[in-house]
Amino acid sequence: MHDHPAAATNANGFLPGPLGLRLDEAFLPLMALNGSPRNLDTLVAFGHYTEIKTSLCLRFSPDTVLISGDIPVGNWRMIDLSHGLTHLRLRGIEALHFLGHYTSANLHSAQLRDARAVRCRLNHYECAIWWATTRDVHILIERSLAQSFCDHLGALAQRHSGVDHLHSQRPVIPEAPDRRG
Amino acid sequence: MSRFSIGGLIDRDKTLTFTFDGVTMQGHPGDMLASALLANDRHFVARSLKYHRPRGIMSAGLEEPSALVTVTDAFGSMPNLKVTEVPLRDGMQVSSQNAHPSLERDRAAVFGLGSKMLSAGFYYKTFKWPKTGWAKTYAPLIRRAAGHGGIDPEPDRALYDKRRMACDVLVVGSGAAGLSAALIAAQSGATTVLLEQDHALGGALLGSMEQIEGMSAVDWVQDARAALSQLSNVTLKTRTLAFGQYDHCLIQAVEAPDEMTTKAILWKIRARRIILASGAIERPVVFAGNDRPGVMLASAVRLYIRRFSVGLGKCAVVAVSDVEERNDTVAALNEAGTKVVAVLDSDVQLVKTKGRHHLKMVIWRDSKGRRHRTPCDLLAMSNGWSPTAHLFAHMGHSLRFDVRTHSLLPSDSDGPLYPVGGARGVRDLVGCLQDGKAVAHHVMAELEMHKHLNLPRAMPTPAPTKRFQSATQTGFVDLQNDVTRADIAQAQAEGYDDVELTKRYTTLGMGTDQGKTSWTNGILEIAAFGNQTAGNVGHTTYRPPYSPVSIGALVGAEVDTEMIPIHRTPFHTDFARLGCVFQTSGHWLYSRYFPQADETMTEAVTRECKAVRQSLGCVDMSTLGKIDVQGPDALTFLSRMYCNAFAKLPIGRVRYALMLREDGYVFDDGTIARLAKDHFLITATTANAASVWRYMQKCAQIDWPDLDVTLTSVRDHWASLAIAGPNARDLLAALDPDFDIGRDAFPFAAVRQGHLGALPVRVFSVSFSGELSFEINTPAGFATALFDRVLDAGAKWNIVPYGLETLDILRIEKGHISVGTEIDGRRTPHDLGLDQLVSSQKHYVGRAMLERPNLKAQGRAHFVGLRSEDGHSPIPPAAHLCEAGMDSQGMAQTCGYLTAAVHSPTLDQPIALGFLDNGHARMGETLWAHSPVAGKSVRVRVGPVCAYDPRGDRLHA
Amino acid sequence: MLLIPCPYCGLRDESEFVYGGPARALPDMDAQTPEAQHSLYRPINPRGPLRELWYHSGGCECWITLTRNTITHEFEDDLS
Repeated sequence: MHDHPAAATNANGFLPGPLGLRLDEAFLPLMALNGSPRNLDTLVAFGHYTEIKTSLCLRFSPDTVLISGDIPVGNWRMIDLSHGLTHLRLRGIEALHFLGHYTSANLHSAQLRDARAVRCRLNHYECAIWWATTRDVHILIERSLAQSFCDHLGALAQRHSGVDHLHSQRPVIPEAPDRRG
Repeated sequence: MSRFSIGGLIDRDKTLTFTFDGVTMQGHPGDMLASALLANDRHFVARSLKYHRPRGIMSAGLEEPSALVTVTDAFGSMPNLKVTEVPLRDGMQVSSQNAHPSLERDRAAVFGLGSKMLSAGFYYKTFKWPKTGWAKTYAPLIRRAAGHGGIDPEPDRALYDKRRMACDVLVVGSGAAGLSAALIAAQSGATTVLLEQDHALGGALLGSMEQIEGMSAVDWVQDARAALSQLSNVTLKTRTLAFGQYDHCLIQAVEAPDEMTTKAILWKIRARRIILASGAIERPVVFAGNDRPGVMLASAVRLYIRRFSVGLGKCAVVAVSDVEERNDTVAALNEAGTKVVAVLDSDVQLVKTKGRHHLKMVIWRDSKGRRHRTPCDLLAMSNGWSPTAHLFAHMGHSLRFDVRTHSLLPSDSDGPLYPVGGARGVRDLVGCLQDGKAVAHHVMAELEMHKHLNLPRAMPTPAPTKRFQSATQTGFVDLQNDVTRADIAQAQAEGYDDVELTKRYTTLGMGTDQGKTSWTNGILEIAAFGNQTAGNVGHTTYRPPYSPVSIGALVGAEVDTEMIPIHRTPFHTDFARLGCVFQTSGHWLYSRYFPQADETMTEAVTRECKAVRQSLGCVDMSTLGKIDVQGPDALTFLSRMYCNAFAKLPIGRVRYALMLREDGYVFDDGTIARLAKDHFLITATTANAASVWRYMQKCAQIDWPDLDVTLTSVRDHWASLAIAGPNARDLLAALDPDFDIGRDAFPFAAVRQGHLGALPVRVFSVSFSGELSFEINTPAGFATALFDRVLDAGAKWNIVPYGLETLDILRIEKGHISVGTEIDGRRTPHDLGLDQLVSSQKHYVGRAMLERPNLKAQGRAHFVGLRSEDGHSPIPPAAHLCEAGMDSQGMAQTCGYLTAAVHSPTLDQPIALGFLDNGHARMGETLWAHSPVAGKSVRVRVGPVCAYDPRGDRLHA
Repeated sequence: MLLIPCPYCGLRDESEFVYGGPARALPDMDAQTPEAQHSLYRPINPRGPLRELWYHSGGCECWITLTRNTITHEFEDDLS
């Protein structure tokens, strides 16, 4: 039973609309590690994430690291948050750009293109977002809001058309800064 | 048809069909509704607001004051759209407004004859008696007679959205200045967004015959467009209106996408610099009959001829104050084959026009005073230009009246928004190109993306020294609101001479166009009548939106279920399976009651209450705030946060706790559980969960940074199901706990961690219902497993799941306080009868302020219980407590009020809670509970708040 | 909509923040002095720079202290 907690949402497939985005929920065991900022810096820098083999570290707060996988030895206070934060994956060519239309932080800024992780608001929802590629975006959201959040993403996806000029392919001059992140 | 067979920026290969007032008409892609109507020889399209005068299409842009129509399409109808802002679509149904039964035979047109009757202030002076006259007679009459289009009563079926964007440089407007600025910014590598309200780039260039870099203006626009489209750092948005500037370089714009998936998108664009290239708006000449269909702004005439390839009349009079523009207008009319019968310079005076539904004649007086009557069907007029600097002014910068350009100009800007070109009074093409380029270079240097070139900026173009003088009192200044020179003169004469007062008194500059064509003329008239300079008149405040934005776009996707985020508990789907009725409670969707078969709510709630009192029930407690507190200073921290003493709280025990605000009033209540020496779990009420969490964070981070304490919100990690009732301990035993749950080993107010079978749990023996109760917490992903096991094992005792209604009745029977009803921000612990909780031995938040004399005073309102005196008359909710019956006027002196009133299924009688002045000293008194709303008065007896098991024996069973 | 310079997260949108009022010295929890009452009921409300608290709810979940000019909304805090 421990291995199979019930899902918090019905996210398991494609969102409506022509963008062809896929939203899935996957259980992510997460511990909150609290410690001094200097100690935590040895795991992951503030505002960044690291993923080494099966171990994931996320740091959105100066004195907390969210960690999945083996807990490194150190002077931490630990709290299990595995069930409190729901982990969603949004996949598709437009995944990050789609979210970027609605996030309070500019996902295409130089800072976030580098960090590829941020905790911000998406419309009325506070959530944490991180991505290795712009086509596969991970989202953490409070469990009690997760179903509402998934429904909201579905409602937003419906509002996009396949011919959004912002995203249509066009030639790029050499060395032009790429706003696509 | 007045469409020429060649020329213009329209696609003649395709034909779009639409109707105007039921008449089928044709246009082409590239047409605006205005150009399509004119191509079908339809000039007269509207009746004016007050006088119902025939009105035509005066302009070719968002400044249009007169030509408002209702457009119906697949999504429903939209009133008050300017024909100049609506791109033509196939199947569009267009209808005129404010005319009955038809435009041509409008009954209310008689108002036009005696227009003195409806002058400024007429309503205020005339309709003030009898007292009820306004509401009953005048207002309905006037509302029928005056106004615009009607709103569509059907729900809007279209989708809307709100999106965000960020960029280095935002360019508003795509005329010569905007395009040249965008090219520089884009080619220097800045992420650039170019917004154009029209569906085609080019702005005024689309009506220009001038050459740029050796090509025609239109070709140059296409060239610039192609250059910008190649760059991946550029976003071009047409049909996107930037309507407001806000703090820290935020521009809001509304886009009407070509494809109809979404009807409108509201863009919030955060730029680092904004270049405002919004051009200028032409000013009409003020004289009698300047509002007749066929009287048009000269720039609009040129644009309709050259861009839309539409002829506007057979013979035209040109009255343009600027020489070059005058010549260009004559040239355009010649291109269109329109005979120019008179070209008037500003030495002449326009007297009036004639014609019933369309212009037939212009009467003017030459410099020697001779009167001329020139028959014509088109008048192209212009008395100068007003820069469109609205977005500049939105941030509170005022515009100043500049004598040389004879217009309101933005002052020199030091960013982040820079007006360029027409928006700062530059009128000539070369100047606009140069200005856009110079400012773009300046901005790039500011952003450190380019070295500083310090290019010279173009100077604002001086206006011709002579302009057409206003004549006659009946000339319209504001066409949309039918404001004449006489109205403005009257406002000045009656003392409404401040510009803001003149606006309100005369309605000058109000309405959907917000005076885009009338404001500068209005200021000049105010100055003339008031014998002051235009510079001293000032201007009214410019506020967003620049042009009306549909409410749908402002709302975006936030309709129906998307209006606000909804929290669901981990038991939601389990409850839904049982047929639970949910209700929104704060931000939560919470179980309200669980009806069986055909039960009513009252029947279900009565059954649920009895089950809890007599055997066993279970209820979802997952919504409570839960904060994990760890660290060597955790006890000290909590001791300061809460007003009660718990320094000696043993590990494994729980204490009810009260949190005060700094001002001494009760903030929240909850429990503190000690899990280990330096590890606590506190609960907060559902309603205050977020504010308690925020406040605790503030105390830990800002107020007492010296305390070593770690706070973590674990609310959503735990599913919490309370089992309550005399059989609760038996059920707990049946769930296979791996810890001792005997009465002595697990007493009331304790916490145990362990397993129920394989389920990891924390169990708290606390009770809100007043029964023996255990709150079982398990990680949220195991909620279903817990619930299923509780229902299975509880079947033996006929366990009943219950919801918010029953929860509330049970707590009212016990006299437990609840946030929002009793904890309303004005109660001290003493008021609530909880002063025995308050420690006098320690420091805590709110202690000092709690000592204030008024908070200690005798006779404050106290929390009391009430029952109806006869034991059966229902007590009306929200009733007021009074010593006497109501007098003949329905009045009585109140001495308190009810916070809750229910029929107790357990006691089978009505009970209530409330606040009563000096209530603690009034036990046993009989009072009236009056409810004028319910029309009921009941005799009630004051008693203790706890109506059921006052000694609390049942908690310890 | 302001852009608020969070010392941890950088420039972020106002919608992520909760306003916490003017920053003030915490009065002694036992002191029932006029000064304590004033600081509670009559917070300073200057025309110009004001030290104030913001809670970055939609970001790092930290309380931060910033100086905002109440006339211009300019933040005087340097992010670097």
